[in-house]
Amino acid sequence: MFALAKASIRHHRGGFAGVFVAVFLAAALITAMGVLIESGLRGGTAVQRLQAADVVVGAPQSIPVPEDLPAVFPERVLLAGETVQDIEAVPGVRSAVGTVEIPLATADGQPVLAAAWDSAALAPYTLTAGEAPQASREVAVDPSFGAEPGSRITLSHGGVRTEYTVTGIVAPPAGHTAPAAFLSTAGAAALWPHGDAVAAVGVFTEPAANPKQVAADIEAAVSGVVTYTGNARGDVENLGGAGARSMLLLLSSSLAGVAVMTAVFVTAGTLSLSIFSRRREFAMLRAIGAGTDQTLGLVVREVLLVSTAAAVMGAVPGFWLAGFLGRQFTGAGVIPEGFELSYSPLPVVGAVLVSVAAAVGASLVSARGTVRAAPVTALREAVTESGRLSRGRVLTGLSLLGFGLLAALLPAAVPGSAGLTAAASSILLLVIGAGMLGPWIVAGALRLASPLLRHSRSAPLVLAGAGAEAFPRRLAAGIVPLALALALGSVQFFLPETVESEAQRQARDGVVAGYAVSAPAGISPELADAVAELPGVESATPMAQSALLLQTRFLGLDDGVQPVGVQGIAPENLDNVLDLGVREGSLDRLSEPGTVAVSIDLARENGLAPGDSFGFHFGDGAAADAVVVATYERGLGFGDVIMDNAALLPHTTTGLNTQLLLAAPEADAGSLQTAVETLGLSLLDRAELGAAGAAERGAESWANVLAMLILLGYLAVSVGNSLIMSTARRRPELMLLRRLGATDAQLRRMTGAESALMVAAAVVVGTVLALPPLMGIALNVSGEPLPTIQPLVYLALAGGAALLGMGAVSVATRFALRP
Amino acid sequence: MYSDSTQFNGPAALELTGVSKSYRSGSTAVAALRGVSLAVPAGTFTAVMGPSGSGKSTLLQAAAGLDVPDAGQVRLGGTEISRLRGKTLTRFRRDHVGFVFQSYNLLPQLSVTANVTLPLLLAGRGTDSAWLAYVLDAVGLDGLDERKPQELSGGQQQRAAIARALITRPDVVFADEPTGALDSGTARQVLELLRHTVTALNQTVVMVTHDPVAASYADTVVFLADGRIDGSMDGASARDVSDRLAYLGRN
Repeated sequence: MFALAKASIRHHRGGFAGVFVAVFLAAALITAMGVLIESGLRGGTAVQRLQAADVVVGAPQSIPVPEDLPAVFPERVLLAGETVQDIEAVPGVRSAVGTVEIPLATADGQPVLAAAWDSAALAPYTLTAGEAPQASREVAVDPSFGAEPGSRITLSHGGVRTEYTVTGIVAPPAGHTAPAAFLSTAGAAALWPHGDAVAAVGVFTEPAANPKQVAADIEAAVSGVVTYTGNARGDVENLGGAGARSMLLLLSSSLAGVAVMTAVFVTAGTLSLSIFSRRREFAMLRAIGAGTDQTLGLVVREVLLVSTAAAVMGAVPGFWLAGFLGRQFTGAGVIPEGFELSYSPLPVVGAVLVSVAAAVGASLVSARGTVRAAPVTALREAVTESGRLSRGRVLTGLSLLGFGLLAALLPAAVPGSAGLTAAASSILLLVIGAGMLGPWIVAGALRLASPLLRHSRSAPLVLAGAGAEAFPRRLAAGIVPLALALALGSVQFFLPETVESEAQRQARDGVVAGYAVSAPAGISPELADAVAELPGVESATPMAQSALLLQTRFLGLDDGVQPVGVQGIAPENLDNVLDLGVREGSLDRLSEPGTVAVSIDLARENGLAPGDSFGFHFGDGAAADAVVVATYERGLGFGDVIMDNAALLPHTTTGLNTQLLLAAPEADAGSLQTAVETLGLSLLDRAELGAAGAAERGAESWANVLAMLILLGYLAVSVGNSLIMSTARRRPELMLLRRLGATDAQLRRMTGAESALMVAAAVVVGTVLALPPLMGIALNVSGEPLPTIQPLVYLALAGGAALLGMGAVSVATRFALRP
Repeated sequence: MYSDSTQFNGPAALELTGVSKSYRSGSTAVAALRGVSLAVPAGTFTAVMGPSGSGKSTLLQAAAGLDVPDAGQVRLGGTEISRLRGKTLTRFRRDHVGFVFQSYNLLPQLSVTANVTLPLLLAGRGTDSAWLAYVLDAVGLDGLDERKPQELSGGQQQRAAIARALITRPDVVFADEPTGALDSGTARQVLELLRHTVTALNQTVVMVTHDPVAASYADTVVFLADGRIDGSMDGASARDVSDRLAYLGRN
């Protein structure tokens, strides 16, 4: 049977080339997503500053979540100071060094991560000139500062500038590029806000000891610590690694889902084209005695051979694609510099299995009907397609549309972000449902176009109309993926845009403060007073940002542990700088300990009202309870939780504020700016305030957009591929028409008119399908069903779909008309 | 059989003069037609016969303007077409030539009427509804005009193809194995129809076939062997034709 299958593949080279391309691309895409998923599980940043430590000890940086990935704490979870001594007491440990991280900035605003001098040995940084820093205003720096022992440099911490004397120059170990500065123990302690607690402990083992064994011994002897050896040490050093992993995992697994579904969809479409065109061959096989199962078996074997070859070859560009995406994500700041993707054969195996299974499954579905058709019917030479759909297909299509619509409008009824995800994924249900009813769409499009076609005396138009009517499935096979591309693209681009524009609107409307003050690496609390003293400034309200982990609920069900944005704002003078849109309760009570205000979205999602208390974890892992004293409307603009600045700051790694909000109605902008800059800070006015928030949120959406573009590119190539296949199949029809006297121009106009009808239907269907999810989301975030749509992006998507559809058909027609 | 139009009175519908055509097969050229001269008087039924590879189909294609001969001239209804190219040739064919093929003759998406009037549509000409009704009646498709081809029997499909070939009142109807895919009963009806168009409508028909029974419906049977004309018969019976075929190429 395999010999027969091979011979058949050789004969139907053209048709199988199309299938090959479809599976090849699907495998490449799935491999790339697989690499990203695997990197989300196992990738990480290479260890640098703690490279010399045999074992690195940190606090548990996440909490386990049943049946889900552990929830990662966004701030550094600290170890108590005495842990260092406890670790040193473990047999096999030669020495243990507690290390801290202090964000400094150079005079020109370059961020520098500084540590105490004893941490230098963990890299190791070695002195090449001068000596170690001793006094609190002394520092050792690497050559990138261009300093020499004895010179003086200015470093600022939280916007407070300090002049340091350089005592020594350290040489970085090979491969280090980030600037390094080491303070004296006293100097570091003065800036580290967490007392004797340390961020991590670097351990040097006895020469004879096995680091892995020592690590296990440490975990056994000291409670509440996690040990890392080898490459895993990078995770402790750079907390961004863990965040990047969960981000990668989230992004790539949701994309992989979409990619696999699209791949199945597209491959099935291509295969059913290639199988339908061979119906007479199957009829002949049946006629000479091959059973249905044997004929199906032949098809499955053919598809198995072709798709396996295609999938294996597709894995290679898949790796390249993953690398490309990784570089782009790094560039966008979604994953930290130095984050290494993990490449293993696993994604290839997965991609080959998934894409081959998809192709074989699709071949079974599309071949069954064709193979089962009575041989006599299939042997008839002139066949048109039936526009009638089976009851099962109609029911499935309608229920998919129904469920999709329900999911799309869910966020209108259900508050919070969980509904947004449902709406975003509903587009797939809607498009697949519409795809099932494809011939109906064609019939509808024809009904609309019929006034134009009915009385036309133009041969190409009449023929195009007749062709569309007689082959609704062929046309639908072109409409559906084009509509899918447009709808998917619209939702993916305009969903974040809708949320973002509402967030910006809330931020704009909610900021009463005239100005904000910021610094390159955070603002120290003591600067608030200094700024408040400036002439014309009534009050300077510090504002800090972090995230809380809390058990969220969705539709009354546990929705796992989610990070929720929190802002710490000094409650005094709050009304002078922010208008959060308080719905219930009062912000006045925020100054009482253990109180928070929550957004109405979070309150509704979790059934909270003023007076209720709820438990959560701070970003640094500390568990706490708080009483809700108020609910407010502008959650998108200002985060879902607001608490006292003084309560939040101790639970951030840096202990620094992100900005100061100034109420200064009387101040002169120019002189205020000069005064603020004299302090080494920068002044933002209200317009710039909103823009700063947008840039932050932009990084993540850029990663989404990029991945979406790749998916759309895949769709485009696949759609082009199947359109070229289906047009090439029409050669006999084109040749007959030509012999009857049709000029090539007439034939090109005929297929052109058909493809115009196809593109127009695709644009209408794609737009109509994209609207419910977008409107649901708009209702959710702003209460009005008006999504934010960028006309240029929409035009690019619709124009791209039109160009692709008409271009592919036009090229294929020219090709088919060649002698 | 006549090799040029001076040999008979009245107009020639088709005249081939010294037509040669060869095809490249790899590095060697295979001669399909070697200097064929043939004149067909208007209003006659000519059958071209010969074994496979004798050049029948090439002759038909060259005569109908589907292919361009390497040498020689083709005059169709008084127009020299062997020099025509591209769009001009397509237009000429559309207006002056009718075709009936063995298979894939009709477009499944069009009704019988639309298939029959397709050449007029392509030419941008209006349909003479009296002539359409007459033609449909003549081929026996009266009342089936709104059916789709797949709702017709094989014989009915071929009648529709003949009606389409007649609709432009062409100088010549070319038929390439028109009965090849039909059973003998249906084939007889189709051949009688072709005969009828010649007798009753004064249509010129040139048919390529390898079936002696089909050839016996023609006024003249022209035999082709190795790309050359190898004699002809007028008013031959099927038995005469098959006897003649048996020793074709031997004299």
